[in-house]
Amino acid sequence: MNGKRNLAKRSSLVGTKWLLTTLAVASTLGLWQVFAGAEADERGLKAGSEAVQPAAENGLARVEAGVPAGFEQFPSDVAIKIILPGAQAPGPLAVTRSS
Amino acid sequence: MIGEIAFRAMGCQVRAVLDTPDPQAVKVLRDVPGWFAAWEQRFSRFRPDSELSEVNRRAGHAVEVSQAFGEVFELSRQAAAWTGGLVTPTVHDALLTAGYRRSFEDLSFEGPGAPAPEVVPGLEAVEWDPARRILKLPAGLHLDFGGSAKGWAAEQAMNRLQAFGDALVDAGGDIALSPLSPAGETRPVSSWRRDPWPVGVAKPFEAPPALITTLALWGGGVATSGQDRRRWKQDGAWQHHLIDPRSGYPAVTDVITATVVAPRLAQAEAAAKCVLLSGSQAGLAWLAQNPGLAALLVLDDGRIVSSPNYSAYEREESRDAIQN
Repeated sequence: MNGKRNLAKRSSLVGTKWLLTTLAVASTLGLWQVFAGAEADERGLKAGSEAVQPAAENGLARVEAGVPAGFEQFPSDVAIKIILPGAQAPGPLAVTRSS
Repeated sequence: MIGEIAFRAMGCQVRAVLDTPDPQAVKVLRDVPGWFAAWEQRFSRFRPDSELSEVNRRAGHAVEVSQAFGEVFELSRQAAAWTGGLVTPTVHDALLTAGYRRSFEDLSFEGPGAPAPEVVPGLEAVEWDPARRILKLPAGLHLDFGGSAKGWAAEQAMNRLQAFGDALVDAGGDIALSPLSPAGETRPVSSWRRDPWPVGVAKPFEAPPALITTLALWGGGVATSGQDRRRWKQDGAWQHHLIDPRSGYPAVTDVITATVVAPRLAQAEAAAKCVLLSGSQAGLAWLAQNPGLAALLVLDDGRIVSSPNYSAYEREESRDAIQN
């Protein structure tokens, strides 16, 4: 019994350690990405609207862990990507082109 | 921190970016897709239940339009006056004639033969009471706001977002930027960015886009019009969406793309279209009469030319072989 409990405790510690290491690495590299999104809400989305698109289709990867304090993860399918100060890639923030 | 959201609306990819020190403020970005969905529902000519479709169906009768519709119509009216009628929302029927009958979201897009185009009517015959927002199109005339509605939407979204931080809204390459103060000047309370907005200018015909150069902008709007996108074949010939109202046909000029920087996105959008429809020589002459604008043109012989004041908006390190 004690053996099982110790094993569970050890697994928990290993899991916590892994999570903390992952978060530390992500933080160091400035790779925090928090995803939140827009519910299809009463402010304008009509039945059949195609305006909301899953995160997987708009080129933004979904991150399941690493939500800083104060943030919530919204149960929605449009992602908000967060770039912390100093982590912005060089180059333009947007590109003008004909469309 | 910078928060950004990307989604499809109004037939294009939309990105909204918010630069703010407040982590909670970025949550407002969740609302942006809903705003665009509502505007698309109002201004799409491909949706039979849109306000635009209803107004077009009721041509010949006076109708009261919404505040948003009135604003976009008013912008279109001003653009038409400013560009000598070259940029006009009355191209609807000419677009149909050229084969642009369905949204580009429907990927199969080869139209059947078309009857001979007609010269596009102007807005002179449209009755418009801006105070009461009463609009009466003459029978047989229909509107298509096209890029004007998209630019208006980007600017509206940017205006709403800038209450929460510095904001950039990119609707298919038409970009509205909240105003920043150049270094050395007193910064407005709402401005957090230390650097100008870096905005790339795409080379025509290339996907994913390669850049010609990168601009450094302190606010306002930048837009590109081009013959390189929204093209389709009809009777074996390439057509595109930029109708020259003088002929009723898609424009044939030496300008492949025209990029314009202006104090407002609506101006940039109208000016870019005007320059493309005019051709490089007349377009650059028109720009010279509007010193608040700066432009970069890619011509059909591969040359890249710019207006004299353009270099003030370009990042020094990205300057390429561009002729003034």
